Amino acid sequence: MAYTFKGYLRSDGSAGTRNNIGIISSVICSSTVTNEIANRVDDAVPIIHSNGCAQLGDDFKVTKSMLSGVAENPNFHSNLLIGLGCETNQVSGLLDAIPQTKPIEGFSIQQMAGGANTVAKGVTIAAEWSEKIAQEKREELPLSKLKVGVITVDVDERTLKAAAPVVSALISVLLKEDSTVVCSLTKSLEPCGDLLAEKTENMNAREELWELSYGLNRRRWESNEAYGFSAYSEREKKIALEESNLLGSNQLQTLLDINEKPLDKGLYLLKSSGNLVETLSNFVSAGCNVALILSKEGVLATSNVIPCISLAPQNDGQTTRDYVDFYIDHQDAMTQTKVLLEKLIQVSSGELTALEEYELGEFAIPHIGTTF
Amino acid sequence: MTKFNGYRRSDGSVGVRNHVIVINTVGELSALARKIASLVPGVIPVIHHGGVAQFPEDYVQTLRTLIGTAGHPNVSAALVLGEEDDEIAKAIAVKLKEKNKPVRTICLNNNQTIPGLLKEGKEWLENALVKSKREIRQECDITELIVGLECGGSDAWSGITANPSIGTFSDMIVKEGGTSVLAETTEAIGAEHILASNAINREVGREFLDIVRNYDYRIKQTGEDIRSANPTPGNMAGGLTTLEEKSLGCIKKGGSTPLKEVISYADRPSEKGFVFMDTPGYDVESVCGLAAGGAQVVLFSTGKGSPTGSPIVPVIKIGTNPKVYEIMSEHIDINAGKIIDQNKNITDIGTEIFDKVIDVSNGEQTAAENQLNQEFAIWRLAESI
Amino acid sequence: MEISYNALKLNPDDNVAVALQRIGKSEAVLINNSEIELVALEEIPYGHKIALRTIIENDDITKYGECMGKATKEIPAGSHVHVHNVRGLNEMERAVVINHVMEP
Repeated sequence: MAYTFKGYLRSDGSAGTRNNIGIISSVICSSTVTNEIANRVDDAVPIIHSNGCAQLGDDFKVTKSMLSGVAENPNFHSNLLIGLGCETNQVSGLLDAIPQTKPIEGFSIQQMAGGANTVAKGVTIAAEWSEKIAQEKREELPLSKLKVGVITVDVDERTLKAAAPVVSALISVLLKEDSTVVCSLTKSLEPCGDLLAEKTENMNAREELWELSYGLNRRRWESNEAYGFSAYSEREKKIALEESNLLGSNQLQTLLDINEKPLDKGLYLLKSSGNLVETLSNFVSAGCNVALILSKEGVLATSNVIPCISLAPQNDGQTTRDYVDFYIDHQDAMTQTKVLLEKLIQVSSGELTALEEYELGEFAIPHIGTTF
Repeated sequence: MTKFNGYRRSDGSVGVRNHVIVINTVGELSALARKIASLVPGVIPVIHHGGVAQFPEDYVQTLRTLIGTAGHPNVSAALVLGEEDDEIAKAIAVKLKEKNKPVRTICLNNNQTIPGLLKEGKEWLENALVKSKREIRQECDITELIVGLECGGSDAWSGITANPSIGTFSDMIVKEGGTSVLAETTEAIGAEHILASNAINREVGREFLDIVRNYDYRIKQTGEDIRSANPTPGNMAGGLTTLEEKSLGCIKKGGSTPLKEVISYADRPSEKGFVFMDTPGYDVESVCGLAAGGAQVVLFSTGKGSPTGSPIVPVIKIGTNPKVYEIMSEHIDINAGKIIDQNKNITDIGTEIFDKVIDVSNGEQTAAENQLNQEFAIWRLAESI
Repeated sequence: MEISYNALKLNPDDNVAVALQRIGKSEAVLINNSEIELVALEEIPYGHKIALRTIIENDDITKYGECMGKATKEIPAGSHVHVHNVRGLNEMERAVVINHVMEP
C-alpha cells in the first residue's frame, strides 16, 4: 500500500507541510523591524538571526546560502526580505540568488526611510499573501514528496541502542516510498566515517567521510593549523558505530555540505553541528519539510519553519515530558515503526508537534569563521 | 564635577537603567527564554544561540559576555534559564550573588513541564519587577560613567562631523574623571599608528598594534584583502579615497586623550580614562561587548542610518549628515549634520552629546529604546563543533 | 541659517578641505577660519576633497593633520582630490610608519 499525506503542492513540484510566509531579515540590524512585520500578519514567520554583515569569504557564503535556502523551503508560500541597506548581505543579492518560483519581494529600511515605513509596507504586502493562503487547501500527496530530516542531538549509547531498530526501520519504509531522508552528520557520527564511506558510490563523499573519521577538524580562531584537529577516541568511535545503526543497511547517496540540497531521492548525510537551532535551520535550508529529532530526554527548541517530531527513549520510572512527541520503549520495533510513521504522516498533514503547540520555534545561522 | 542620577548597586557600580532581564545559557533555550520574557510586560529578553557546540575560545568569550551582561549595573534582576547541571548558569549565579544582585536560575530537570517552567519564571519576574520599581535613583558622579564609542553604517561625513564630535565628548568625560571605550579593531587598520603613538606608554601602544596586526592577518586568511575591499564603492561615491582616510575618520571618536589601556572583548576597563576594546567592526557584536564590559551608555554614529540598540544599555545615535537625520529621524538622537549646513562646529556638537549623555543617564529614553531595538549578538570566533 | 563657508579644513596642517556642498567649476572656495583665496578648477561633489595648494607627485595628502595617502601626480590648488590622483600607502610605507611609532 502506498502511503499519502496532505500537503501544499508548490509550482516547482515540492510540497509544504505548512503554509506560511517567510519574513526574512538579511542582517541583524533589520531583525526588530522583521519581527514587527511578522507579529502583525497571520501565517507570517520571522526569520531573524545575528549574521549578515562584516562577514568575509566562506562564512559569508554560508549566511547567504542559508537564507536563500530557507526562502526556497516548500513550507513557505511566499517570502518578504527585509534589509537595513548598507549591509554586506544585500537584499538585491538574495533576490538574485533565490529562484523565482513563488511570490517574493524585498526592500531595506534605508530605502524606505525608516522602520515605521518599512513595517507599514511589509505588513501590506504580507497581509495580501496571507489572504491568499486562507483560500488554499491541503491535497493528498504521495510520501515521495516528503524530505525528512533525521537529527541527533546530545545522544548517548543507551538512546541510540533503543532508537536504532525503530528509526532505521522507519528510514527503510520512507526510502521504499521514494521519500528523501537526510540524516545529520555531527561529531558524534563522524568517527565512523570510514564505515559510512562504504555505503556510498560517490567517490568525493567516500573520500571526505574517510577524512572526517580521522579526527575532529574545524576552523578555529588560533592560527596554528594543528590547533584545529584532535583525533577521535575509541569510546567516541564506539558511540559513532551505534549511531550509524540508525541508518540501517540502507545505501547512502552522498554527503551534503552545509545548506546543500539533495538533488535526488534516497538517503543523504548533511554536515551538522551540535548546536540544535543552527542544525535545524540547516535542514530547513536543505529543503526538508519535516524532521525527527532524537535526543536523550527531549529538546526545548524546534524549527519555526518545519515541524519536528521529538523522539526520546522511555526509561523505567521516568516521568514523561510534555514536550516529547514519541517515546521509544521496549515494545516490538515493527509496531513502534508503524505508529511513528503514522505520527509522521499526521504531523506532515498539519497536526502540531508538542513544541509547535508551545510556539518554541527558533532560527539561527551557523558560523564557520569569525566576523570582522 | 558633573553629576547624574543613577542606581547605586551594592558592589559600588552605578546603573543608568533598572532592567529586569531573562537570559538563556545555551541556544536550545532561546525560544523558552523569549516566551517567558513575553509573559511579563517590561521584562527584557537577552537571547543568543551560543553556549553550546563551541570550542574553548568561543565558550570562554560567550561565558564572559553573558556574565558581564547579566551582572551589568543597568540590570536590576536576572532570570537565568539553563539546562540540568548547567555550568554557565552556575557561573552567572555565583557572580551575581557576589554582587548581591537578585538572580534566579531555572535549570531543567526531570520533573518539569513547560507550563510549570513558564509559571515559575513568570512569578519570579513579576516579583522582581515590583522590587525594581522600588529602587530609586541617587546622585552619582560622572566618574562612575563608562561610555562606549561605536560607529555603524558609516559614510564620508562620519569622520568629519559625528566622529570628531564624539572625540570631543570623549576628551570631556575623561577630563572629568570618567571613562570612554573606543572599539572596532577592524576600523583602525590603516590608522593604528596614530592611536599607538598616542598611548600612555610603549607597552600599551604595542598591545594595540598587536591586536590590529592579528586582524589584518585573519582577514588575509579568508582570502580577502581589507585594502581592496575598502573604501567600499559607496564610500568612494561619498568622497572617501583611501583606507587610511576611512580609518582616520573612525578613530576620531577617540579624541586626543592618551590611550590608557587595551582590553579584550567584553572585559571591564581596570582604570578610568580612555580605553580601547578589541571588538569586530560588526556593530551589534561590538556594542554587545562594550555593554558586557560595563559601559552604561553607548554612542553610535551613523551615516546611512542604523536602528540597532542593546537590550541593556541605552544607545545614543548620532547622525553624520542632515539628510540621514531628516529621513531616519525615528532612529536618531543627535544631528551632527548641523556642522555641514548650520554653522555649528565640532565643539558645539561635542557639548550637545555630553549633555545628551547626562540626560540619558538620568533616564531620558533614546530613539533605539523607544523603538524597542534590543539586538544582542556575541562575537563568534571559530566554527560550531 | 546662512552659512559663510562652503568647505571645511579639519586641521591647520591639512592640504585638502572637504566640500560642504557641491562647488561648481570656477566658483570661489570659502574655507572655515581661513583667509585662503581659492577657486575650484573643476566641480567638487558634496563631501569630496579639494586641494588647498599645489601638491606635487608622491607628496602626502594630509587630512585630519595626518597622512591619508600619496599623490599619484601633481595636483594643482583648487583640483578635485580623489582616487584618480591619490593612492593609499603600500605595505612597505605602512611598515615604516608603524615601526616609527615603536622607536624609542
